[in-house]
Amino acid sequence: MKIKPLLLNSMIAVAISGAPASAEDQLVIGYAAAVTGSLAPYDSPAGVTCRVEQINEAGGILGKPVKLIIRDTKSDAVTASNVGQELLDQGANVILGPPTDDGLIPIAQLALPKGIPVLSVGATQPAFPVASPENGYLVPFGDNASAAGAAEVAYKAGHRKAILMIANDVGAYSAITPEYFGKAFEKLGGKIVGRVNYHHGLADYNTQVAEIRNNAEKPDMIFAAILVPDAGVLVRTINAAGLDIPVYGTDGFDDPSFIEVAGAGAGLATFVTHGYPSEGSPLKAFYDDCTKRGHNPQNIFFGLGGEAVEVVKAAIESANSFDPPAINAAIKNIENLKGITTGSITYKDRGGVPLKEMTVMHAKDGKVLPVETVRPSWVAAP
Amino acid sequence: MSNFLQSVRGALILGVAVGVIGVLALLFAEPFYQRIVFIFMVNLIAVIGLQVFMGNADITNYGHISFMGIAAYAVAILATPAAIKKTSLATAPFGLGTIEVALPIAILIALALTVLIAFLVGTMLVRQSGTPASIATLALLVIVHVVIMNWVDLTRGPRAIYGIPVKATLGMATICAILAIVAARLFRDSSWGLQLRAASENIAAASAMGVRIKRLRLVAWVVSAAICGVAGILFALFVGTISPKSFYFDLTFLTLAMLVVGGAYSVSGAVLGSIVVTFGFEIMRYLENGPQIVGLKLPTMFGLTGIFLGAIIVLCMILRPRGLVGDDEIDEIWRRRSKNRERSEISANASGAAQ
Repeated sequence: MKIKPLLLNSMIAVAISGAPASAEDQLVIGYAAAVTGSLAPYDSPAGVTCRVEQINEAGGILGKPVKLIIRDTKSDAVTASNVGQELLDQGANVILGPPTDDGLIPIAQLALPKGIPVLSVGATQPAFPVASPENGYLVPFGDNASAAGAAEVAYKAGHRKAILMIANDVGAYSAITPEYFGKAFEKLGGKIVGRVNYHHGLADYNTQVAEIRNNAEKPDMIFAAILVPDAGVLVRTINAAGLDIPVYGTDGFDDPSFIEVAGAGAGLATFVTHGYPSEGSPLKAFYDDCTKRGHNPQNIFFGLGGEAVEVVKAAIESANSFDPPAINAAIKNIENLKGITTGSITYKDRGGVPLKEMTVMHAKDGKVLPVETVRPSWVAAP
Repeated sequence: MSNFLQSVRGALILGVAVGVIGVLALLFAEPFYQRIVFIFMVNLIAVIGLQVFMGNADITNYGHISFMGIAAYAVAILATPAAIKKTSLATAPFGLGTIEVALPIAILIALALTVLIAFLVGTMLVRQSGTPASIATLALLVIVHVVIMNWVDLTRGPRAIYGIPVKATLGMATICAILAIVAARLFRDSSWGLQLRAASENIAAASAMGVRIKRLRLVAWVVSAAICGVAGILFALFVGTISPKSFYFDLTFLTLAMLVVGGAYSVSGAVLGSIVVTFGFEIMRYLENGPQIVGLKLPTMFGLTGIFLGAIIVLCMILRPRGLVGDDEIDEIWRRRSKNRERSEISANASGAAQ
């Protein structure tokens, strides 16, 4: 009785992998996605599926249809590495991975012997490519790049003295990104005049605002890699306290709920994000076509999912091969690729973290709209 | 002495079952299924560790995974190659950022540290019974998690520690699981285990008979922590990357569910519960991906595994509140059944002869 389920499983395994597509024949994308669980908003099986449908309709890659296999990591690091192995067993020659480094690094280790590249659809932590330099890539920008972008925009706007908001409770994002900002801002000639701690989930930011007000040297801006809804609460509190200090941030602000929570304080915020579906943009076209196909573009990660497939497609077409090491080498050479969320993606000499054109967003009259694009000239080392 | 042999024999029955699973996986399974079986072994060891305290002292324990975490982090920080630490743990205190300890020594230090912390926590914990004790174990889980999250220099905080040498094999995990089963069974059947179980049924009567409850609870607590520590070390040395999230509520409740389904009062229950939940999970995971079965294409149903875990716990609570196995070990149940059968045969023979 104890052995039977195992045998059943082995039989299932044989049945599944009975006829694995040969890696040389066609592109098999294995996507270890956080379909369920807390990380689900930062992965997009629908976005990847839609782009694959589009490509297959247009004749595939190198004349061969693309096969997509999706497995749920359940937002769990161990399950992620397990399904990563499952996807490798099933003959994937490219792996798309979950949004956190604890799931990505083990998958990249498992994929390394065959030289199979692993790309993260949602992760912005540059720690992943640092730990897996041979075959680990981010599809979004790294937090160090978005922070550098924010620094350039802030400096250009005339700000010179910044306070950093630091939180240790949501992964590296809110703790390390402000430090990346600080380095880039100081490099430009700005000064960090203080650091203020907070925790996500605070209903009340008055303590932090008082601390900012009483800072020894008066700041002319604040940087916070803060998530919604806290991002809204923070600017709202600053506004209510009668302080007129602008807040700069990155993609944590990028959610439709920000504007509702922020209220009258929304105008204080400026943030750098992956892209915006403005009229006539490739992202808008992608969203529209996918909506017609019955998919629901839930947030920007939908676009990044499509962009991940786009990066793989470009690499295969330039390598003219489905051989994983050739694809891997070709990704490392991508320069100025026109993406879906952005006009320009470069992997060449970037150590797995792409240099991308980013969109700067600012709230005005109850609407968050893109004001410009930025490509930072200097980015702090991860 | 015959009791001792019986315990060993009972443990070996379970050990052989687990061993067969391990050997079959080693011989026939693909890499992916070998990983599943490895994680099964790790969870099994943690469940057995949990059973040692929870089953004997009858205190629901939510803190066992924190010992997995402590051991895993200790071995990770000690054994990760210095070259990788230069980028990942450069600011570690006590010079830990630059030293690289040989793996066997790192494992021993990790286990010793786990036992030491368990002993210190245990001296306070064993003074309580029932719900307050359970809440104290929950507090332990949260405290350990918060320390790991916030001692950023030592643990990288919420970021993953990577580059841990991937040295654990399925064979090692299987052997460790079998040893854990034997240890748990011997403890359960020892005079300490017996006294502790007696005290959990009637604390006043047991202490009147001279059972030193606090001391015995402490022993069970420390043994339990050590077994969980082994699970944590295997985990770290297999996955190669750990983060605080790996050792928190998800794993706590998964292992608790395994033990509750199987039956907390016996080692057989721990083993059976782990097997049922793990393989049930895998079958659900296979179904949720939308497979084709005899020509019938099933839809993809991500989330099915979560429903399975909930359903099996609810069903168990309704139909078998003391778990699938119940209060006794499997070999004890078999022995009793065969005795009953003999007895009924003898009485049948006797009545036949009388006629």
